[in-house]
Amino acid sequence: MSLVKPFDKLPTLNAATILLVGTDESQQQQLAEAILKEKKTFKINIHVATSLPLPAERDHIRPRIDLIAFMINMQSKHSLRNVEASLSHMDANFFLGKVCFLITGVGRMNHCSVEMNAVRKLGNLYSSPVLFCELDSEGIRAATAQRLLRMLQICAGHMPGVSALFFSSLMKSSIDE
Amino acid sequence: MWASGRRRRGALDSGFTMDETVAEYIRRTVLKIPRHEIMEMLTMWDFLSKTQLQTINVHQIKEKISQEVVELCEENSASIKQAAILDMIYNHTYRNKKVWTVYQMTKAAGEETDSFNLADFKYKFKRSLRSALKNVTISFREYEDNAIWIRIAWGTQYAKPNQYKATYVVYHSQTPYVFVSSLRSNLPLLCQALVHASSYHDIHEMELRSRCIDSLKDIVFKRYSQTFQTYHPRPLQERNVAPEKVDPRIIQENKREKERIQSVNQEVFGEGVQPKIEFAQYKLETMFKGEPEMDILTEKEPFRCVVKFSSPHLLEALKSLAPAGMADAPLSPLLTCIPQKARNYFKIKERKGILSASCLGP
Amino acid sequence: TLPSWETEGMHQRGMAKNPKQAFQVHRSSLSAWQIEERTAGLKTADLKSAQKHERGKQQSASVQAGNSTQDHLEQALTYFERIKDYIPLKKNEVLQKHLTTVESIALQRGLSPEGLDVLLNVALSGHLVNTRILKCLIPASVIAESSVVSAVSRLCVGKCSSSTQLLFLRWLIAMFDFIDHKEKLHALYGFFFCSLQDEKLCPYVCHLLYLLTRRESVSIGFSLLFLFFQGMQPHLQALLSLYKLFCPELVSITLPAKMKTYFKNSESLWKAAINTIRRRNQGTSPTSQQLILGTGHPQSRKRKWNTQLILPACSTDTKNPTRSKEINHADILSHSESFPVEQLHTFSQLLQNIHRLEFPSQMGSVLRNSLLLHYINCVKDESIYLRLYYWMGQTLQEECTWYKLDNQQYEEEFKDFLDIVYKTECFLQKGFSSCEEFLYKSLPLWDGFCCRSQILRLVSWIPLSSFSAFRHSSTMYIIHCFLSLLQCSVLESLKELLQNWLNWHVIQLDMESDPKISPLNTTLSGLVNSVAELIHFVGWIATVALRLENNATFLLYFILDFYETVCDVYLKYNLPLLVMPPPGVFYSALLSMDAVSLNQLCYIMYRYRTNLVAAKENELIKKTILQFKFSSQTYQEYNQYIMAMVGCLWTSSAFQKDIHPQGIRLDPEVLKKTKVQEVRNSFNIVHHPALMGYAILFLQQAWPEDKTLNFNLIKGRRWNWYLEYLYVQGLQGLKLFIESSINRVSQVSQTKSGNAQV
Repeated sequence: MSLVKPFDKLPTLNAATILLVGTDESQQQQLAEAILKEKKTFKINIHVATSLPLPAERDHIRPRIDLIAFMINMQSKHSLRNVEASLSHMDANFFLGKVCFLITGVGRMNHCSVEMNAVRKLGNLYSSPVLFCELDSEGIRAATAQRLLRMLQICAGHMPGVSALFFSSLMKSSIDE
Repeated sequence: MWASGRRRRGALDSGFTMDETVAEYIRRTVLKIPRHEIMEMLTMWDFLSKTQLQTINVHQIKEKISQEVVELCEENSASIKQAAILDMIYNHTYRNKKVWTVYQMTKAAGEETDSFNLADFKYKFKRSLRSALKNVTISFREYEDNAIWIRIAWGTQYAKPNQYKATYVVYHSQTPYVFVSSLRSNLPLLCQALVHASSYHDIHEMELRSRCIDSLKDIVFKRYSQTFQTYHPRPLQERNVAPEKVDPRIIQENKREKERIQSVNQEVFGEGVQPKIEFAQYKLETMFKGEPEMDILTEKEPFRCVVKFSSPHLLEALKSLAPAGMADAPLSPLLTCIPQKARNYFKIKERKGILSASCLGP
Repeated sequence: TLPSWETEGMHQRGMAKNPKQAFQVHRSSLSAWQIEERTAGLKTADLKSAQKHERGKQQSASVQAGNSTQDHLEQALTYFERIKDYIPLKKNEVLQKHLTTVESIALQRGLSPEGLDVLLNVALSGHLVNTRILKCLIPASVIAESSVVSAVSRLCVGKCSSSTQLLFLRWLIAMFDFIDHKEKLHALYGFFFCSLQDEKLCPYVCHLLYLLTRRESVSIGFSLLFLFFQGMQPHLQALLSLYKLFCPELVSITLPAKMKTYFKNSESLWKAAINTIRRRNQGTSPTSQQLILGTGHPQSRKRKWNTQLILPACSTDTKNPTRSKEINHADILSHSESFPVEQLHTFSQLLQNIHRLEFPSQMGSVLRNSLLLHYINCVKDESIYLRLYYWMGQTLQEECTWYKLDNQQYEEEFKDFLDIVYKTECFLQKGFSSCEEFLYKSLPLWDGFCCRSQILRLVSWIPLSSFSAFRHSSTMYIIHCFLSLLQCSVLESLKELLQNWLNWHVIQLDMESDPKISPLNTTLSGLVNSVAELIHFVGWIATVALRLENNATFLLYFILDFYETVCDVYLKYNLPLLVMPPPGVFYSALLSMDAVSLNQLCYIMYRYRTNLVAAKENELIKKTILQFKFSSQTYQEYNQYIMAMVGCLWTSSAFQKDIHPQGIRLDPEVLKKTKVQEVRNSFNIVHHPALMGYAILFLQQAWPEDKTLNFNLIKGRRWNWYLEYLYVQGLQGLKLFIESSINRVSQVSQTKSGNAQV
C-alpha cells in the first residue's frame, strides 16, 4: 500500500484519469457512467475505489491520477469517516487543486447524520472545493459529470494557461477578497 | 345500526333468525377482504351454495356486498362456528398481518414419541381449554404440510367470547414448534392445552417473532439455505456470479476487497433469500467502561439500554450492508446469528467475551 | 365576564339546533357537497339549480357511488349532531364507524359548511375526548364565519382539553383563508389577544393575530399589554413588528430587522388533504375554474402558489347578479367595511376601493394579480411587505427543491414560482429581501443545476447594500459558473443587476429633487463603491472565463455587452464612476479574430471617451471641488488603451507604441528574431485578423482582375475608400471610434496618440 502521488508518473497523451473514492459503489458506478456519456475531446479513465490507500499490486498498471473526487453521503457518518481516513494516504501535492469533495444527500436535511459544518471544515482544511449534488437525479448527475470533466481537464493540463493550482487559487481569492 | 335494524326486520318476515353478533361479525370479515378476493374466499369457505354465490354482485361497493353475504348467511342460518371458519380463511391468506411468536415444546427425558392422531389432539385440546374456561370458541382447520390452524376466541366467566380478538395458533404435528399470534392474558391456559394435547412435557417461548410465519417456519425447520454450517466455502469461481457489463474505462481498484466482502458475506448469510424478519432487539445490561475518574463507574449497577433494529426485511438488509459499503465485513455475529440461533430477542449481559447472549426462557 | 359576541354565537347555534331545520340544511348541502361547492353561501334554491347544472357533467356511476357514501355521511352527521353528553371512543363501534366515514369522506372530498359546523361543535364540546374530528375538518369550499364564531364560544366555555384548543387554533390558522367573512372574527380580536397569556397557546395565538391584525386593531391598550410579554420569542416579535408598522408611536422597542422564521408551521396536518381536494375540484370542472381565475393561467397544484383558488366566492358575483347587487348595496351603506380582494377585477374597481382593500393572509395570491401589484406599488404600506416577506421566506424554504429532496417532483412548479417571483420583482422594480436571504442561504448548497436560469435571474435583483454579503456567499455560484459553461448567463444576470442598481439610482435622483420625499438611505459614495465593486468583480470573472474558454467569441460578446453599460455610467445614469475593463478583457477583444468583438470594443472606447470628456468639461465649468472626481489613473488607463488601439488599427505600430504594462509591446530585437517580414504591417485596419476578410473582399471588388491580393494597394485615397467600405459593412463602432479618437486632419503618419488623449 502506497501513497498516491500526482506527479510520480508521466502523463498519458491526450488522456486523463479521475479517481472516485467513496463507500457507495452503486452511486460511483452511476456517476462514472454519467461522466462517460458526456462529450469530450480526450480519453478518460475512471478509477473507482472505496478507500485509500489503493492496493499496491496494481501500482504499476495504474496511470497518473489527475483528479480525486471524494464522495460523502450526508446520511452516513461511515462515508465521512472513510473519506477522512483516506485523506491521510495522499501526497500533499494533490491538495494543490487536484481534489474535490462531492456531497450527496443534502436534500434530506432531516435524515442527515453528518453535520454541514464538518463538511465545510473538511473543504477548508484541505483547501478543496465542496460540490453539492443529488446523484439520484439524472439531470444533476449529468451536470455534476460536466463539472468534474471540466476540473479534470484543467487538472490534467489540457487547458492552455490554466493549471490546477491557478484554478484553486482563483477560487480561494474569490472567497478572501 | 340503522341499516342493520332494517335488515333484521326483513329477516323476521321470512321467519328466520340469526344471532346479530354473528351477522355483524360476518359482515365485518367480508369487509376486510379485498373486493377481488371475496368470491374466492367465499368459495373456499364452502358455506354458501353455488347458486347462492352466483346471486352475489361483486361489482358494487363492499358495504353492499357484505350486506348480501349476510342475508345469504341468514338463509343458511349461520352460526359463530361458520363465521369463525371464514375468519380463519381470511387470516390464513393474510397471515402476514399478525405478529407470530414461536414456542418450542420439549419432552421429558426418555419419553417416546407417540404417533399423532388429529382427532385425539383436537379433543384433548378442546377439553383442556374448556375445563378451565367455559366461554371460548375453538375452531380447527388443517392445511397442507401438516399445519393445524387453531382459532380461539376468548371470553371470561361472565362474558361471551370476543370474536374480534381471537388468538391464532399454528401447530405442526410432526414438530415441537407452535406459532402463536395475538395472545395476551390466557397464555398459561393455552400452553397447558397444547402440551396436554400433543403429549409433550414442557413448552417455552423461543424469543423469535416475526410477521412472516413462513419465514419463521423456515428458520425453526432449518429449511433456508445456509452455508455457514459447511465450514469451507466453495471457491469463488464456482459461484455463478453474473458477469457484469462494465465499461473498460471504469476501473475498480478494490476488486479484491470486494470479492473478500462478498465471500465473507456469503459465508455468513448463505446464498439464498433470507427469511423475513422485521425486527431484532437487543437488551443491554452491561457495565459502563470508560475513564476511571467518572463517577458512573463507582456504581455497580449495569447500564441498561435497548437497541432495536427494524426493517421490512431485516436479514436481507443486514446482508446488503457490507456490499453497499455501509458497514465493514463481516458484521458482528450478534446480528448474523439470528437465523442460526432462531431468535431475534436478545439480552446481553456482562460476561467475558463479546457473544454472551444468554439464552433465557420466557 | 363574557364578551358580547358570546351570546350572539349561542344564538346562532340555537337557531341551527331546531332539528327539522337543521336536517333540511343537511340534506340540501350534503347532496351539494359532492359537486363544486363554490356556490356555498347561496340560498337553497340557487344551490339546487346549480346542482342540476353541474350534475349533468357527472357520470352516472360516480353519482351512484357518491349517493351511497353521501348517505353514510348524512347518517354520521346526524349521529354527531345528537351527541349531547360525554361519549367514550373505546368500544363504541357506532362512533368508530361514523368517525371513519367522516374521515374518509372529508379527506377525499372535503365537507360542506354545514357539515363543518356540526363537527366543529362536537369537536369542541368536550363530549368527545378525541382530536380525530379536528384533524379531518377539511372544507370542500368555504367555512361559515358563524361556525368559527360559535366554535370560539365553545372554546370559551373551557370544556375541551388544552391540546384540543391548540389543535383548533392550528386549524383556524391553516383554514384562515377558507372562512367566508371575517368581520365577526375581527370582533373577537380582543378575546384572542387575552389568550396570549396562555404559554402553550401563545405562539399560535400570535400567528392568528398576525393574520387578523388590521390598522384599527392596534390600540394603545393592546400595545401596552403586549409589553408585558416581552420574551422576544420570534412569534411575539412578528406580531410586535406588525404593530410597529401600523402605529410606530406606540411600540418603542427596537426589533431585529430580520428573523428566520416567525411562526411554526400550522398547516402540516391538513396540507395534503387540502391539496387532494383542490386537485379534485380542479379535475371535475375546469370550466368553472376558468371563471374563477378570469385569466388563462395554468393551474398549480399547490394552494399557496395559486392562492386565488382558495379565496372563496370569487365567482359568485358573476354567476349570481342578485348577490353582487346586495354587496354593492352593503358597500354603500358601510364605508368602513373592507373590500374583499376576490372581487377586484378591473382597474377602475381598484381606483374606487383603493382606500379599503384588505389583503388575504397568504400574500402569495398577490403575486399573480397585477391589480394588487399596482396597489402595492402605490400604497407603500410596509405591513404588506412585511407579510409578503414572511410568507415568501417560508414558501421558498419549504418548497426549495434542493433543500428537500421530496420536493424534486415539484421542480416545475418551483420553477414557475421562482419565475413569478422574478416577474413581480421586475414589476415592482424592487428585490424581495426574503428572496435575497433565500439566495444567500441556499446558493452554497445549490447543485448548479436545479432551476438554473431562475436562480441566475433572481440574482439580478439583489439590493445594492448587500452585494458584498452576496459575494461572500457566492463562492459556489462562481465555481458553478466556471465549471458548467454558465458564464454567459451569469454575466447576463450580473449585467441586469448593474442596470437595476443604476436605474434605481436615477429614480432616487429624480425623487431627491422633490423635497417631500425623504433623502436616500444610501450615500452616494456607498453607491459608487458598491457599483465599482460589482464592476471589478465582473471584470475578474470575465478575465478568468476568457482564459478558461480560450477567448470564445460568444463569451466575449456577453462581456463587452456588460461593458457597454459600464462605459456610459457617467452620462447615462449620472453616476460619477468610470471603470476601464481589465487588460485581460481589453486585449482579447482588441486582438480578437472576430470583427464583431472589435467593433463592439471600438464603440465602448468611443463611449468611454465621450464620458471622460464630459466629466472633464464639467469639472472645468463648475470649478468647485467636486466630491467625486475621476482619478488620474482612470485617464491614464484610458490613454494607454487608446494608444494600443491606435497602434493596432491605424498607425501599424502595435508592437512599438503600446505602453500598457500588460500590453503587446515587443523589443525590436525580439521582433527581428521572429523573422516575420513586414512586422509593421501586422496590425492595422487592413491587416488586423478580424478585418482582413473585409480587406480581401474590398480588393476583389476594387480590382476584380487582380488575383494577387496586394494589400499594399490600400493606401492614401484608397485607404479612405476602404474605411467607407468598412462603415457600409456595418462597423459603426469602428466608425465612431475613428472619427472621434483619431485626428484625421493631420497626416496619417503623424497621428499622435496625444490627439486621442483626453
